[in-house]
Amino acid sequence: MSPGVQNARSLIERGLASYGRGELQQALGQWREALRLEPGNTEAHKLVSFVEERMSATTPVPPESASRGPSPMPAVGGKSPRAVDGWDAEEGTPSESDVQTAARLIRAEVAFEDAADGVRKRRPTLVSMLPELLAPSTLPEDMRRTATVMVAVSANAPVPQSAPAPVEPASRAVPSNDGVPQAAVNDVVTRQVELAPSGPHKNRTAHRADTPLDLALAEARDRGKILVRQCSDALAAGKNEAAAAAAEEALQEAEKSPAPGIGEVVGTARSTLERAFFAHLGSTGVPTMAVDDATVNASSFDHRTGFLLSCIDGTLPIETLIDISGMGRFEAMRTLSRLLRRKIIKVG
Amino acid sequence: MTERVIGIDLGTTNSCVAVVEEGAPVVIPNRGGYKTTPSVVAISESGRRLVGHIAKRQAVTNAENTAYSVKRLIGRSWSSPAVKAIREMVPYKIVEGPHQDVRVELREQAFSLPEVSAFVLQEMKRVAEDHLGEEVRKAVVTVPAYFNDGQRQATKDAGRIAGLDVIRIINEPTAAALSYGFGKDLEGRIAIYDLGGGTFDISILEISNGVFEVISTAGDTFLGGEDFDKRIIDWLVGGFRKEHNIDLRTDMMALQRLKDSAEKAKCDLSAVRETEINLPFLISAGRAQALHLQRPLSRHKLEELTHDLVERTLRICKGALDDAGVEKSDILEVILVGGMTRMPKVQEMVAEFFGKEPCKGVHPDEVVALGAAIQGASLLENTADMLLLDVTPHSLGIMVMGGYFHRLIDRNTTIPTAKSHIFTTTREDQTSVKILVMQGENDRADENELLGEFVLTGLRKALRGEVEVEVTFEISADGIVSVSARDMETGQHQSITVTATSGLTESEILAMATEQQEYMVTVRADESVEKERQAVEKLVDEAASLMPKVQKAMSGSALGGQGLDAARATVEQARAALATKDPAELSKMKAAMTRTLQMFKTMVKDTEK
Repeated sequence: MSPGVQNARSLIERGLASYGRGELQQALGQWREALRLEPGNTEAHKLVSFVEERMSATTPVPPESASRGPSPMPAVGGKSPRAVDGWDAEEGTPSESDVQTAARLIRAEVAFEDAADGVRKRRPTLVSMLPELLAPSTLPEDMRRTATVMVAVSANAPVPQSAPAPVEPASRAVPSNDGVPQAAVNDVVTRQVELAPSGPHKNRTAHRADTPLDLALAEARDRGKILVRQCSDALAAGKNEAAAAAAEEALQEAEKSPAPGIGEVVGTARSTLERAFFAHLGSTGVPTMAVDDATVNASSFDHRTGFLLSCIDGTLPIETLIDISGMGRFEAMRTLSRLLRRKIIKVG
Repeated sequence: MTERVIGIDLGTTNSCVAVVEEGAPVVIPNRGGYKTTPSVVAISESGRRLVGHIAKRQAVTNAENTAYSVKRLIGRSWSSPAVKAIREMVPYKIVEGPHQDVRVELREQAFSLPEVSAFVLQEMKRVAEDHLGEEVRKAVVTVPAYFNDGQRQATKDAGRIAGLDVIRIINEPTAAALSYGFGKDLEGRIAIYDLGGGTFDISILEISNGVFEVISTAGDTFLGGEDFDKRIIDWLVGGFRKEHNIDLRTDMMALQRLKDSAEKAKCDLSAVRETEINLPFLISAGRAQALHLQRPLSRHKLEELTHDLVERTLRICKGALDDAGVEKSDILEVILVGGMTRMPKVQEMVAEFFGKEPCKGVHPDEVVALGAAIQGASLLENTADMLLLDVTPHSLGIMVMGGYFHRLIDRNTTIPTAKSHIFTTTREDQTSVKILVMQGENDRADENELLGEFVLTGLRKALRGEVEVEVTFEISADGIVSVSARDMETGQHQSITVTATSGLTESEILAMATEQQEYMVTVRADESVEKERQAVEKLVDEAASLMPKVQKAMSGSALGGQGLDAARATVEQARAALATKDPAELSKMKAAMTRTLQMFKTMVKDTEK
């Protein structure tokens, strides 16, 4: 890999991190620099045009100003302050779509304070709506969870910077003196714990600002988080193959997610995923082919996997294979782990 | 115990190490079982230094950080025409060193050429040490017969950096002849036809009463086995383009595989008449799909593709014979050296050219290293049953008016030698002359290598052409060149001794040698930790696989339960130690796991009774 390509890669990663912090201008600068170094980099192209599009849509308010508080996740929910204003402007009882909008905003942690303001105004109604909204048939699990957080936000209670985990203890998410009937909130939290991870969303009423792309991205992010968590848990339990499988799924989720991707979920968990692949492969083993040439030829691989397979000669240990793979440590380990799970190779 | 001397053939493409054991020279295989090791050095993405086969296998995909064929550059100055030419040809970065020397930049770190060669020599030293089970400090290293003093000195410096005392540098054809003549009463003229991976050399030697004298040498430093591989690659790439309209050269992974398989097919075709090149999933053809390359290659086709390359070597052979003033019929034996000479067509064409079958009694890849080992053993035992006489591989002379090169000593002159010539002033009232000492074969001085310069002053003022200056060149038996200039009238004189230099200062060499030593200590330490890690990992795996049986055996026993908990804790501690890579911890856990495993085995055995 040329230094230019390498730097472009790291600039893309850094840009994603900046984006994750809500520093869009900086992210844009980093991605543009990546493009300068490697003009053919399609990922950088995609990211630059995506952000430029977003920024022009939210003008005159610069995207950075949309998030007043620290925001560890990007403003990818499509909810710029303009969308929040639109929501604020609505009169009357908040509808389910209002809840969804707020939920998505909070989940994306965009304009958190703005969202919270909106929720505050309608808090009593929201609270009254909670039992209905939180019923499994009404809203998907992540929305229900978010609605709970909104109640906390509206009461100026401390709210975690990242989206709450499904098993968030009630005491951390819900204040005791917020005027919300304690039993109701506890009930909410208890039910959350009991709920299964988010499946296909039911009864979702699309808000006018919710594009299918936004929703798909939000879903991808949630799935990515769950998979990363699964990977981490499996790793801790010594279930290396399961950890590697979850890591692979998380990466696939990231790969198929719409632009700008879910780099902040999977990218930040890169070291965990790498550890999963490494644990699955072991450090000292020597990979050998587990199937004959005919089986290999009849399988379907991309040419990079084909290259790595061609390097496996039964003498080179994992570390050496990674060194000569020409594809970077992470990709090499991921590919080898995938081959091991498919039983194309074995590690002795 | 007598100290051993190893013989190293430090090749452009491959290197080989040999030693004399119980009176017979033997080649030492490397850890992979190969008798030759590619002279390739790379720095991986993780910063790890790769040498040999591993480096070669990633040479295309990590081209910018892989140095190969540094032998073509070693000992040359930055301004040398050869360096300029090579810079255009290699993918790695060549930069100027602090002393007008040449350096190679890998992963933004500049390495001197002796240093890169030292990495290869160090690998060969290690191969020998692993085989002999003792430290090796002394070596005889071979170089091409045409290497000048600077190149020889740089090779010696490489040895020093690698922790080797290079007790003698000998010419490759001489080493081949020594090996061939070992145990034989060889007399007469022999030709050494050396077609290696990257270079071709032909040398004519005169062997008489144990004296080996190189009487002429010629070659092409850009002609070798790699050119044969390239022809196969071109043929494969062309065919694939025709079939799929895809240029395989655009993908480095595909190109690496093509290179490996072309070399393999070429080697196979020395033994069989047809082989198949089969490269599945070679290049992407859309989403998650890859195209395969499958093509038979016949020996006949390979010969057709490479015929002109073999012919080129024969034209050079003719020049070498002419230089030596010998006829083909004067050649007693033709010895084939270098892997490419295994190709039947090469053997056939060489036989046809010389009018005799080349000798097949020596192993072309090993013969040079074996000769070096023989010379090493002979130097150690101080036996004087053979004498190696060298020739000066290049013409030596000075620059004269008009930028021309005036030869004083012709190439292939046996050393020691001396020669004088009288020159005159070129300007009116000229009171000084500048003597530019050069070596090379070109009539234009600037195309040759500058060895040194000095000024003779105090000449009498006179008309041009009136003052005569005698210039004398002397080359000692050690190859040291001295040049003096004397005013014939006044006797005033000046001289210079051309000291061979590799472009490195003494302190730089020492610093590099220390760094290498430290590096080797780290490598050895890492290897030992790795071994310990592997042992612990194996014990942990074994214990984990026995755990269900042990649990079953212990069920219902409170005491057993405690023991099981303790065993589990030990396994967990061992797992943690595996992650730390702490040698002391690993050693401790190895002992603990051995005990635990023993306990498990006993329990399981008792239960199964």
